[in-house]
Amino acid sequence: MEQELKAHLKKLMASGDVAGIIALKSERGMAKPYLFADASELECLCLTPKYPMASVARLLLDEDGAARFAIVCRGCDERALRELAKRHQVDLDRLVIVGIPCDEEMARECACPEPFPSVVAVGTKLEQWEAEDIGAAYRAMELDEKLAFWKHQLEKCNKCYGCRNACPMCFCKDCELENALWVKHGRLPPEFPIYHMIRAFHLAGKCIACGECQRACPSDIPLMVLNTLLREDMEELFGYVSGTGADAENPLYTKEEMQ
Amino acid sequence: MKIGVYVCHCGVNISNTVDVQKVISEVSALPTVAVCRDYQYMCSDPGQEMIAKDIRELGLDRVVVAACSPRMHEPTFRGAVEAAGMNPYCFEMANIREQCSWVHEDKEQATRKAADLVKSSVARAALLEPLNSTEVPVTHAALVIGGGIAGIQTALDIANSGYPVYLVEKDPSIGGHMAQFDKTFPTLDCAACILTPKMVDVARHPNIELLTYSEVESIEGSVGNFHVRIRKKPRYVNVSLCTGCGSCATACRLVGRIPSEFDMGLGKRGAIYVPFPQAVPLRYTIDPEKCLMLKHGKCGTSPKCVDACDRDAIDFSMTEEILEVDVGAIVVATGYKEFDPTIKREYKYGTFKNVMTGLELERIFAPSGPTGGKALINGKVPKKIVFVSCVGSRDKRIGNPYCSRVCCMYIAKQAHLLKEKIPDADITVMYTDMRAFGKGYEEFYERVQKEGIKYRRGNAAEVYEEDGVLHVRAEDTLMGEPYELEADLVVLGTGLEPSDAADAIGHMLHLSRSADKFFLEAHPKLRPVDTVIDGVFLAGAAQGPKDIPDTVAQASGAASHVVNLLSKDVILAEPIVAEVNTDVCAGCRICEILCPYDAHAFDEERNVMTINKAICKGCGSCAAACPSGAIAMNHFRDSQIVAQILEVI
Repeated sequence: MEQELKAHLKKLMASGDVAGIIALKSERGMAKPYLFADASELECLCLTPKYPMASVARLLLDEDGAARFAIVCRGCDERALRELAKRHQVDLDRLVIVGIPCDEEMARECACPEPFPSVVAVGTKLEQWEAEDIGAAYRAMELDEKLAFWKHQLEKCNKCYGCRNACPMCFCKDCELENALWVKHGRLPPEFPIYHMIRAFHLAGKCIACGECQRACPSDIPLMVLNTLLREDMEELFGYVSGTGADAENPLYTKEEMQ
Repeated sequence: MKIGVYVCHCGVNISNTVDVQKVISEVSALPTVAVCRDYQYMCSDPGQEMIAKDIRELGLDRVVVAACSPRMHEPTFRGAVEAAGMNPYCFEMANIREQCSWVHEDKEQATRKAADLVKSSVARAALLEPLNSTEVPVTHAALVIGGGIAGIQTALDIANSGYPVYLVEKDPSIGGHMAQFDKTFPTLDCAACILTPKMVDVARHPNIELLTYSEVESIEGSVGNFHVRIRKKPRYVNVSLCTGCGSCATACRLVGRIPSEFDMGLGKRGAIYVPFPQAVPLRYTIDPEKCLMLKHGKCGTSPKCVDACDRDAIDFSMTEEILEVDVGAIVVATGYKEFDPTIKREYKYGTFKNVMTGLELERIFAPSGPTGGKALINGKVPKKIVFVSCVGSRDKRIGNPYCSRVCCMYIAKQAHLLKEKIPDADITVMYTDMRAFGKGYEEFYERVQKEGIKYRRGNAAEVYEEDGVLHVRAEDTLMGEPYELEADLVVLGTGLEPSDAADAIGHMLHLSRSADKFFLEAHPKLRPVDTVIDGVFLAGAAQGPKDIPDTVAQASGAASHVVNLLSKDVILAEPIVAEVNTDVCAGCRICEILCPYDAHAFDEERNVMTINKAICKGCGSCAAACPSGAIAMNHFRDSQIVAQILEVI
């Protein structure tokens, strides 16, 4: 798939349609996000590990006021871009999405709800895919068990802000998690459950289930359980699945006609 | 920090349930509290003076009054502390009446809650910041939307006070529904005789710019400074040339072939018309939907109206014009529309010609109407007449649970007028409850009954036809028995609904509606002509069903509020507004979606949101929704609210 993708991107670059391609570059055995501006560099392009590309696009588009870029996107990246666009953080008209599918192993690792973008440019998407229900064990608990579960899990938090830093949906310049009015400074673990509660509130209707927060967490807090429950609530209560097309309005940001 | 706390007894309203002395002793112990006193009526002059004296003598930084709801007396106390030299926004009020003494019985618990509420207010007061109002200049002109009796009265009152008024009416003439009536209850004054002189006054008034056949296109800005775009629809007749002679209307090929809106479709007009002979302005208008020339570009060999007009006033090339005006205040007088009874299928309106609405019958009575004032229904004099009340009112099934307030009386009036014209008529009124509440109304109702009009309680169940005769089936709820009546004429006492124009105007001005869909006043008792939008006032049936005396009274009330506003050169803008910290704003624009007043404007260049202080009403939606805390609500900052909450949990 990698070779096929490189060929595809070379063609795209030659067309002159884009100023560069946002993708991962392999360097000394490591991978880093990179803006490929020259076809010759594409030899170093790599696809793994998974990386939140939407955040890269957001920062890059901010830097250059007019240029159009191509971006190599997985399903989660595309979902993230869509939600960011709804919040005016990226301009989708300035991005050419080059969709790639995830293989079964990657999809399983993320328990991804949809491990492929809407249009797959190269590769073949999984024909049959059903994500693991990571909320199942939690839902089976009694109420007091649920409380005990979170008390135990959130006690592990050492407030490294990794979950927030990795999250492609976090774009605020000042973060309420650093506001001492809500989350007291110099206290570990943070007061239960305010830190994670704020994140949960901010991610309702926003989390696109990429799993970056959980991967970033050094304390192995099962953040995706919380996020999965949030996504379920949004769908059940409001019929909204975040990451869907631009015409799907976020119900939390709509107002009823004044009574 | 020196905080003064004042606990009010409110006569015995508070002190009956709350142990005021105990509250005082608890609050006095707080380190920030410099003085804590109680008084029988804190809002009274001695009460206010007690606070003022402490501010002056003890040098208080903040004042907390524990009494009634701030909706009741916050302005009173803000004024009092300001007069004593303190910033009015350093005042805080704890509600221990509506939210405590009035709703609790247990004295001990109520006292504990009152003490908590006061402590919570003290915590917030310590974090309050002085705020300063900014001055906003006032444009000395007003806009009145709607040219019915409400708009006419408002416009005249404002204009007579010396301020310019733009009166906008969507129809070709002012007059509204009142112009369609024959007589008015309970005095039986001829409607035209009392209305048309006012219409003429409007047209002649040097301070009124009358804009008929025009609609408000958009409104921007806020109190004191509204910018309004008005769309003048083309009449296709040059009003400065037209003399209203009517030769064109007589000549029109379509004369007598188009149902007249003014005559509720019972009379006919041509494609060039005036709605009624006393129209103001008495200038002709061509109906673009019907005129052969405008629709097909051809009217015989040449348009007959053009041939007939000596003044060359007809101009088919006319296009709409946009007029832009600046005003300081706006009065919404968009009135009502008659309920469409076709929804009430049991009454067969639209199926049988002899079932008609109150407003249609009104045109039959009118000397200028389709029958020339003769009581003829489809060519015949009706002898058996049934009135059905509450059609479209007090009816939850169709979503109108409210009483339309005028129907009982207009039915009584119409029954009287019919009896006068047809002395041997057998007239029955089927009513739900008789509501004759106005001045002289009960007397009129009694008079009508004495004239032989039968009133039977209980509404009609259905209207049906048998052998060419209409029957009305009903239940007499006083006798407890069903009965049926034959009828030559069934008159439906149709209720009132907000006019169609209310939707667009309400949207432009961000006006709230009450459950009945009429515009919502700022306070149901004490501010019946204000809206929650400063500088926007209500007059007449736009605010709720009303008879003519009430409409005129409210219109004059609205005018006095407008004049009150326009008499000032500057007004103070409320400083309790939201502010954006542009260093923090990430430009996600969620706040913009949520603002009910369109106070937000995005700065594309800097990629940040801005808030127009003059438009912001301080509702706080944006501040609550901002994910990064970039928006602060003055006077309700997170820190102030959190301090207040922490004190009670």
